[in-house]
Amino acid sequence: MKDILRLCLSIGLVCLGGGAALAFVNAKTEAPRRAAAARTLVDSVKLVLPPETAATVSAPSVDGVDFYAAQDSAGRTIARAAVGSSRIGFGGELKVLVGLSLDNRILGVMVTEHSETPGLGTKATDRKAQKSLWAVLAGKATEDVFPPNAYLDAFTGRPATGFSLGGAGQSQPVQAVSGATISSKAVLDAVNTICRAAQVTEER
Amino acid sequence: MSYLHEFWKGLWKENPVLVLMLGMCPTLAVSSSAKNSLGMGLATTFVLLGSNVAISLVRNVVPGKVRIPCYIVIIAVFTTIVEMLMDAYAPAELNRTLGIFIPLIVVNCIVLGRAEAFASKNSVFRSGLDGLGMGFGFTLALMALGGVREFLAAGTLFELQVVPGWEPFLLMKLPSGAFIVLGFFLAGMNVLKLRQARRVGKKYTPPEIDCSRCNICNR
Repeated sequence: MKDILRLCLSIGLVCLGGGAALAFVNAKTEAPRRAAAARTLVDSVKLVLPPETAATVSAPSVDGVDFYAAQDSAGRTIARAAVGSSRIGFGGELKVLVGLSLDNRILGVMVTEHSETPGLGTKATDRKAQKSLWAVLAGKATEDVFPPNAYLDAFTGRPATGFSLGGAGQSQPVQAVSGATISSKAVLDAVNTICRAAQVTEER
Repeated sequence: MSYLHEFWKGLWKENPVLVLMLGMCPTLAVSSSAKNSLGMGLATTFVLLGSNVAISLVRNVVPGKVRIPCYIVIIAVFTTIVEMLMDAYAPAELNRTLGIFIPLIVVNCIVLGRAEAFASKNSVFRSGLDGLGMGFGFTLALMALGGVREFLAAGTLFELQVVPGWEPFLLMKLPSGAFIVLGFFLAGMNVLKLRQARRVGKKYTPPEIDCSRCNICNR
């Protein structure tokens, strides 16, 4: 009995000390953690919005799609951004960020989260600029914040009324990336979800 | 033994990945690029240092019967601290890639292995040095592996292009590539040791998996 008490006491004390340490670190990092999460979102949202954007304000979500209103320095809404997701990616869920102009045209598409196969599926999802080590060493590297991706750029400038993959007679066709058909479909699915939600908000 | 030895042994002689063969799961999973390897290595080093020191501090207080749960609690505390710190201060991209692997440091055999085999029997200072050395050894091995894999896969290092126009080699980026590269690394270690043994006139037999190389269960 005495032995059990001793064992319980020592485990309890270790847990208590650990809990106290965690509570302390949690309290200390809470504000920076929230700021970091907000910064990540704002940084990526800005990429698909016009350069005049001074601030982004969270707007109501529709059907699981989050909307953000972009305001210029005078506080007028000049565009919107929407984050939607699709579950039919090759590696499961992926999240897509779309910039929408006021007349509901697509300003830019970007995949913010995914687990597609590197080198195959990522051809349809990644915007990645390849910097050369030698250019960096020579100090000649330039920062490209929104590198091109042929598939994602195919949406840009078109009305956000829904897209389809190829096929004659289909409305607004886009060409899937060969070798990345499933990932292309998943991106398309997320974009279409956003288009539908955008139309719902238009009607309101 | 000198204090310096406690630090140095983790880097080469008792390297956790290449010699002790501990922590294979994170090794294979996150060594797809040099940058991920560095992040994972440093996170593990922090947990190792913290848990080794804390476990060494309580080694005479905690009864032997419940030592493993106590060690796990201490390791989990440090891992959670790392997770929170990374959420707050690490670059978003690195945090996203390593996100699912950070909580797994709790069950990384390097951390529990060092706690049981070293920190529970040695002074606080020695345990700290051992944790630091093992952590850096893990980081270096991971970075070597990640660097080779990243270079073969895309011709890049730390996401910077080294060879323009490199034909992508997808296998190296996938987990199977990690097995293959690790196999070559271990073969290289054996070659080095064979040579060393021959130079001093001894015979070297590569280690087999047996209990003599690990004293976790105190056999």
